Amino acid sequence: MRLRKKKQLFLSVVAFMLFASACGGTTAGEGTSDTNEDGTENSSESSGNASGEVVKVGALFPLTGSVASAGQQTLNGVMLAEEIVNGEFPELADLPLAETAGLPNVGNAQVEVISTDHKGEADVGQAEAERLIESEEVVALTGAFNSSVTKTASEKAERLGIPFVNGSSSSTALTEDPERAELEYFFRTGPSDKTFAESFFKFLEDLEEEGEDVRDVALLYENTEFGNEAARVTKELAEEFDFNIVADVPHGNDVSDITPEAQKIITADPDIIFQASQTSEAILFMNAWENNEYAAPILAYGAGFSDPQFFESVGTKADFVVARAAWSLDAVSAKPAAVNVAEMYEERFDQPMDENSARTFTAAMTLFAAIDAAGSSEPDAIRDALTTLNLSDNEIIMPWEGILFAENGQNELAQGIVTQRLEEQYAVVWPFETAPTELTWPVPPVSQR
Amino acid sequence: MSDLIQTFVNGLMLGSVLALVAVGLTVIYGVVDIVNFAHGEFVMAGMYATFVASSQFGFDPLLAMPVSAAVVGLIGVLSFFTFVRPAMRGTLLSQIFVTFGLMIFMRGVAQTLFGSNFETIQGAWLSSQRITIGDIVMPGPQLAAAVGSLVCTGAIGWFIYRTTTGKALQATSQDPDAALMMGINPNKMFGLAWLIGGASTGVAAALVANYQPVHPNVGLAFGLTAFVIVALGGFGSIGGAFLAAFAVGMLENFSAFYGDSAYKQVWIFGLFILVMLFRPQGLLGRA
Amino acid sequence: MNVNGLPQGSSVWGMVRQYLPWVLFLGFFALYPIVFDSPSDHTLGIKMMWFAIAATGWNMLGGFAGQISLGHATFFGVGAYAVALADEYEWNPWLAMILGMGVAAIIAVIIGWPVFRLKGHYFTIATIGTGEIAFLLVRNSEFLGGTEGFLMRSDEGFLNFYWGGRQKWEFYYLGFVLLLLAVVSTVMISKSRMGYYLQAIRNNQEAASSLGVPIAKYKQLAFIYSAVFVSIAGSYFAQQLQFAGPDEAFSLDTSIRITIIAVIGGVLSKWGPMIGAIVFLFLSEWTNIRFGGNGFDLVIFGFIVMVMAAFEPNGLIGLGNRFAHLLEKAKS
Repeated sequence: MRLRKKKQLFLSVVAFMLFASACGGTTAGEGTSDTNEDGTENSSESSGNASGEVVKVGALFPLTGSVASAGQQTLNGVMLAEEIVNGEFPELADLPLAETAGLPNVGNAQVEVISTDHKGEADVGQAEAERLIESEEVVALTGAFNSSVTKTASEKAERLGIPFVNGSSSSTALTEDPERAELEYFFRTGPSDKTFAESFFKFLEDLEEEGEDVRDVALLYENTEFGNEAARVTKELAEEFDFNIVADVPHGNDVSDITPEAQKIITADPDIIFQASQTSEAILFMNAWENNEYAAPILAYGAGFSDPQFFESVGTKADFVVARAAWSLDAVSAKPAAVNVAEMYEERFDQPMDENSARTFTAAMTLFAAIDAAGSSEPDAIRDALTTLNLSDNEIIMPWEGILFAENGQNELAQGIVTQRLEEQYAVVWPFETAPTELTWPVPPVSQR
Repeated sequence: MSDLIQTFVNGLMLGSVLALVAVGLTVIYGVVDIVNFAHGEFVMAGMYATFVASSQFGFDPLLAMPVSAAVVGLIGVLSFFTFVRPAMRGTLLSQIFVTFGLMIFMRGVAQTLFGSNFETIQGAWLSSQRITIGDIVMPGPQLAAAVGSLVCTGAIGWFIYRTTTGKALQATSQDPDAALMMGINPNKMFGLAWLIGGASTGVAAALVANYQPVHPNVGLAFGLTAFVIVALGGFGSIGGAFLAAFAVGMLENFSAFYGDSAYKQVWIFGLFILVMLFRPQGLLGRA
Repeated sequence: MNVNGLPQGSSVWGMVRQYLPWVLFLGFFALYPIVFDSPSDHTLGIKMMWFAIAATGWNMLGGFAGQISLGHATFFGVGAYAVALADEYEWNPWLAMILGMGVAAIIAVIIGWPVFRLKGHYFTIATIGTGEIAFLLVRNSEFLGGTEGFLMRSDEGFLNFYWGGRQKWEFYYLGFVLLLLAVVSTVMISKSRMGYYLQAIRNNQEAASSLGVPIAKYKQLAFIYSAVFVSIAGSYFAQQLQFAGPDEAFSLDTSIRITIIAVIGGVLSKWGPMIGAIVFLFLSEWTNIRFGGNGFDLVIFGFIVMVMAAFEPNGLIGLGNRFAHLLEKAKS
């Protein structure tokens, strides 16, 4: 009896060992062929390149998971930057590297973007960053949209001495946390939540000068890293600018009921609600406001409020929401290159360029400009070039003064703009002097819309 | 004062919806003696069924209720006859793992079929209705969900305690072998329990889909709350689940409105642990 | 039921058969980084190690004692946060890991007191409850980093419990040693009186109790053991990731993952969790590449778990045994 059992065990173990190693073989094989496909695709584009040299850059984005739709847009931005650098686009002459094919200072080398999916998970993002650096031998990384993934992936890049240029994560801590500020290989082109919050408060001060009551503010945010971080900087600035916080309401994410939280806000009756929520809860709150005929004066920190699915679901209910943005087409209509890029984007990807794609496009262009300025594909040389890189406002498609990195890796010239949802579109409404559209304030009562 | 009343009304509305969500779980446990860990995923499946009926075939969520009930009921019966019944012959481990596997399986299927996006039902008739009494607001979808839940829970209670088939169900739950001797086919009764449990969950899901976005992980919140309610009320007890659902609805609303809303779920799980310590069989459970 | 292979057999063949699974498993794990030698394969290998350690720990309670817990993320989190706090306050990570094991044991006692009053399904649901409470408390605790968690900056080297450069095989083998520790102590326990008591509790708690087995004590001991090894897995995980956050360490998803691994491998055998770790890792990687990670791996795992529960509760190990049995029949 016993012997038979042993034999069974032995056979089963062998069977599964074989099975397991067979699986392993497939995994490795599939992985390589996958990348080869990518490689071939890209090298066919670069057939015009004389020297044949290729500079590889890794791109980490959430292509599956709960923010996949935004993730695809962010990747599209980087792909467009790759195309513009590799091809010749005289009509975009304002932008660096657009007019010439490839990187002139690196022997006209072509750039190749190797993209990968991190699913929005911090540990996957870190492992993927490592794989791109070690197996694909990329010389720099860009990404990763989710602040939490940007954090772990850029820590890995720092350890391996590879520059990481981020355009799409706004968590303030990424550059302001004392430990993070010391990172030598991390750069952020886009504004942080603190920059955004500052523009909100300046906007509110201007609004007050026009005779509106804005001093009593409420905070409504999801109890996650993103929400808490937004609430933290808002509280800090509220104190600095001398505003009163009349309600401080965190809410769960993926919860089934937000009724008491909404009731809390309505009871506090604030002049302004700072809201940082993801799509699902943003929808629930919008419905709760409507049910209570409450005209919510919302100042939104992106997230749910920049998700197309949110607007699809709530439609005109979201009108008059004020949101911070890093980019908007009508904010850059004076820049011909920006308008051209937005047109190209819509042509390529069959959807309008949005804030997220504009931000990642800018991060990628900045990185390519730095590689060209470094004149080599050495990671350390690229890092040094990034620290001294200085792009003027005409050389970027963003409504900023340019790109110049501070000691902590933050682009000092990045700014937030303030937009308002009017007739189902975000329009720039601040600074009041230069904004093309006039702010509607106070928010009209629900019954009069 | 009006805050107090509004919070109370919100608690009542949430409580009645939770009651219907939890009743399906407790019926299945009461008769079949298996905890359906996939219960939250049953809610998710019903919400997707409602969503598809409304976005593809133009049904109002209220009209999609029978569709959702049928779909989830069918899922219940199918999973019983394919996997759960064989697992019942096995050890306690098998009985726990089988619905645990079903939970993971259903989540995976939803993600594969629908992706991870949030989906909402557009233009539901109820979404523009509401009743306002003084300062007290009762939004149409929530109110309808509450009323529908009460009716449906009542109907299930009536069926189980007042009809012949219901009594056969009860007999099976007490002693399947004795029931068999009396000419009741226990397998049929078990299947019926899964059908009722699934269908009532489907009704709850359709009602909830009126005002909640659906996504593949939406079941988690419902499943956890349903487990707590059923454990509080006593496994297998419909009356207990009903009471516990209102307790949880009230606790959620009052703790979040008058306390720190970040902790509202801590209160609910805390209550659950307390009951477990001092009355492990639940409020109305069989000891 | 027992496929653990108790020591016996005087013949050479008996010896060979007894030690073959050891040779195979240890051989596979020992040779893995040499056969699959790219850095990203090593990262996967490290993942496989903490899967296997955590599932082995879980299995002492879930498999051997038959108490299915869906709250073990709490102990995984304790281990992860122990080394993360050590990094924050500049203690030694090894000491922190050992401290974390102690804390995990204490928490196991505190949690065990209420939840062991419950049996079967009730027990499982109660562990979901305790797991969620721990998760919510950690997320809302400023001292424990709130929703943000802790970033770590370990220096490299054995004393620092970290190798983060382009070479990772050291870290892999460190996990291998920890796994060995878990397996050897599991074997020792399963052969001791405690092993037989746990088996008796699993098979029939009432009968075990009437035979004079101190049920409460041995369930509690199994819980402590499993908590300690899951916390080791947590420390190893956080050291490798250099990050500990509530969603990665304390969430229900983590508990579910640990449970799936043990269940698909087979909960009645000490080898089950290891086979589970191998299969789980490669299947999820494979579906990711093949189907683009759209939840298809969950479909497969869920299906396997359902089929196992209905037809072969001892997972892949049990399936292998059946297969071997059929072969043998065909031969004779």
